[in-house]
Amino acid sequence: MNREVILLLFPVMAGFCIPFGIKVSSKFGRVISLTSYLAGIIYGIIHLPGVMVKSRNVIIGNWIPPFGINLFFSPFTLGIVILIYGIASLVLLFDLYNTESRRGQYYLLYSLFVVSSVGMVLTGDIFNLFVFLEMGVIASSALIALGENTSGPERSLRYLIQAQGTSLLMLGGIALLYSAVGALNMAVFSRFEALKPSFALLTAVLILLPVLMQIKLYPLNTWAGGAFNSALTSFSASFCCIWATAGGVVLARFVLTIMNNESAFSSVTEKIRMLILVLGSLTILIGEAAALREKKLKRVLAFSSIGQMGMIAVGISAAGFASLKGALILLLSHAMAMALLFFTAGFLIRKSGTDQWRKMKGIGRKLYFPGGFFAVGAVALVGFPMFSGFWGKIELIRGVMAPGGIYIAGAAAILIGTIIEGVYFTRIVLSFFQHGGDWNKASYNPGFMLPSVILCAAVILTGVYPALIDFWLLSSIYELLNPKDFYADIIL
Amino acid sequence: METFSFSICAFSLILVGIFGVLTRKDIIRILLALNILETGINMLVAAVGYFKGSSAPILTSNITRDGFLPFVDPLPQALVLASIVIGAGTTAMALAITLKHYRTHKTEGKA
Repeated sequence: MNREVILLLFPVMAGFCIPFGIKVSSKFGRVISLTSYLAGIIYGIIHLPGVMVKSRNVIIGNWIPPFGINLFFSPFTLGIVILIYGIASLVLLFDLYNTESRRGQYYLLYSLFVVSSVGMVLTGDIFNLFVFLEMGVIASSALIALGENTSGPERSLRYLIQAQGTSLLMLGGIALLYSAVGALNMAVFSRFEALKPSFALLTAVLILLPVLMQIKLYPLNTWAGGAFNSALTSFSASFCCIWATAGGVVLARFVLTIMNNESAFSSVTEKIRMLILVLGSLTILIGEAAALREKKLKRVLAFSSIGQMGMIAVGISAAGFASLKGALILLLSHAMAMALLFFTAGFLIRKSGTDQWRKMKGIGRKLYFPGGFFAVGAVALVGFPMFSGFWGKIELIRGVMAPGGIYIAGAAAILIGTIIEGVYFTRIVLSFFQHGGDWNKASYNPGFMLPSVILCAAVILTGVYPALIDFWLLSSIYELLNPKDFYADIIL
Repeated sequence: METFSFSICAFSLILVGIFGVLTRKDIIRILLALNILETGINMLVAAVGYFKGSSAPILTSNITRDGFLPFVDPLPQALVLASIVIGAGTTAMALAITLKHYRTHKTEGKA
């Protein structure tokens, strides 16, 4: 038996136990889910040293690739899985104290959401990826519908219809690709003879559609603002950090591994990268401009996240060492800082009784911990020196400018986006710490303080001492830029 | 010829589905259009695995002098089965959310 598969099974097992366990205790769902994610972190950390030495191809059911499904354990994938479990644990910790008690079904759906994100990162089979994607779409649309206000079901339906439509088109793309290649394993695509350009472009676009939607790239992000605002704060944080991070990994895998210069898509590799560059640049400008004029705090964060994902997409499209390093640092920074910002936003909205940031004037002077945490998250996202986003933005701009030509426009979009980001976050943070407003001091529960302090420490630590993640970054970049040696040869 | 006509049917259903999703305003009709799109995609997947003159991929006593009779590719059929199950799950979820929306707003609403 491949023991590594257990990493994927922790949330599944928790999900199966929840319907029975809640008959015994109403808190069973929370406790078993949190336990399963913590177990996932520990199990991942135990396997990390071995995987750092040599990546592992885990074969499912003794069906050797390309005939069967495989999971690919590399420093890149395992590092992201640990991050996903880490964020999921912090979200549940926040949930324990800061939301009303919920029924067990919520945690069952949440476990399904987490396992689908983890599965998307680990799988090496494209149809398996489609299945995980659909699982995630079903779970997340149900979780959006369980939101804080009455618009939840409508927002959820908007998301579900778009997600289902793009997923079905992906399935069509997979069928076309299978008809040409005769396999579903992504390692086979990465070293197959070149397909006809028009066929390759059609298939690539169809396959990329749901991934572009998952990372909220223009024009497939119309659902995002409403969905993030309607969902419960804890799920908004998860949806923004976990789902988008998994999407970023899949986009990198698609663009750099299975659509590289020696793959079945080699005839259209440059066109695909150009498409991602253009869509990413537009996403940055549209997302940040929307955040600038937005009044609701959670919607500001949603649009800001859209802009950040645009920057990551631009970094992936440039496909260079520095740009990829920047994109990966930004992917980590976005996950940590956005979780911190959503926790703080949820706490402030609950205490102030309003979701509009202009009406929270002076709240940071009384509630200095949430105000401070928000400021730290904001500067990390904007990319101030000594915070995690700084190194990401520096490397990203350096790397995207390197190829020259149209990529200069991508770098300009990142710069403009960063300036706009700086303006609206400065405005919000200054408003929080201005004189005015009649706020009472609040008591802080460990469910808010502990995850926020951990995330604050993480964004500062990776900013002050970036060498901490250097080995992981280098391993990930080598894997993505050398798909033959570090991916296909290990699997096939 | 069979594969060609099968593919034409599949693409027609896909186009009808996309048209319905883009033009309808009623949630139930959009979900119906999504199901038509799904059927078209499933037909396309099944068409991919068809070879002229081949039989169903089931081992029987139909053995020719050179070995087994040629089979159609069973993998796309397995994919279609998985896709149908996922599609049913998604549709059920969408209908449940529509019902929740209806109970809140007393209308099928516009998506």
